[in-house]
Amino acid sequence: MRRFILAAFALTLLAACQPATTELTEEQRAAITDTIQQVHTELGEALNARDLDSWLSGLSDDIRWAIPYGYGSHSQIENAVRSGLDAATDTTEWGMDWEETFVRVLGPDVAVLWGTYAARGTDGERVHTTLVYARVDGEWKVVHGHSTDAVPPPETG
Amino acid sequence: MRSLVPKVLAFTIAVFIPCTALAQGSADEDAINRLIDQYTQLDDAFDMTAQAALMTVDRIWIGQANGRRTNQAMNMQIQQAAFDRSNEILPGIQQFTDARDRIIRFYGRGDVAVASFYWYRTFVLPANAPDDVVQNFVQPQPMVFTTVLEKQSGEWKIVHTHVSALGPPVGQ
Repeated sequence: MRRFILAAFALTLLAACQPATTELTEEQRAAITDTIQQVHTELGEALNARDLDSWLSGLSDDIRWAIPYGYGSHSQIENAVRSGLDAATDTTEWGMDWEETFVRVLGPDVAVLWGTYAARGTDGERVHTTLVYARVDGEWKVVHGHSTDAVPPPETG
Repeated sequence: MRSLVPKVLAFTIAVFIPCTALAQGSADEDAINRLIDQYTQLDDAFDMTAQAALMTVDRIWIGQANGRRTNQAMNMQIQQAAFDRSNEILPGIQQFTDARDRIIRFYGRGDVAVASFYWYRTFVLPANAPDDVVQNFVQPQPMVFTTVLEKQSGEWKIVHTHVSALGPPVGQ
């Protein structure tokens, strides 16, 4: 009897521990897509308004973001963006004007967004970007980023 | 008998669940590392048809010079054609690729992962390569890779790739 109870509990709890299927309805996917687009828009507006703290609050503490010389941490991203903001005298000199963005929902708590933005204060420079959003402590945050100038890399040999 | 229930419950939670979660996480990490190994080996074998099996049919690919490719089938055809052309021009050319410094992180309920790594390729030209080709040949720049993977029916597949050149440190 004891063995039976032990086995029953173990099986029940182990079954509950397995990843649940995360099949989402089209409505749920659309709702998550809207939410991600909204979060992304708000973060972009914060950055363009030079509100660095609000923008940084949208990044997870352990974010990895591919920048030209490798992957950057949260503090490296902060330093890079802060130096760009400090060098610009107004919002026309530094900022991002996003073109259309796309979202792929990968579950109730994770999605990937990609798109291209025109960099203000440049000679028409455009940047391809991938952002992975995940729900962290109930809030959608960017957990991984990858930005690429939409131009061929220099030949370095 | 009643007193047995809490003990069994505590034992199960303490022993079985952490073990299962750890084993599953490790198994998934191993599976993704194997997938990256396969991806690399198939690239070196110039076999884009087989490499495509590691991805979903609607994978998005973003590359620095090539922009965004949303037609996965055409993307793989383009890459295969480029490899075939290289082999026509330089029969016997070999490629050796290393995906270094891999970091794999899991999201959602463990069924989504982001794998990031640096991609170093070395080409070895055939012995009979023309002198002008040998003299002008430069090895490709290392690349920064982001791959987003999803576990579908128990199998990991790449759903999104973003690739860019690994540049020198700022200021150099």
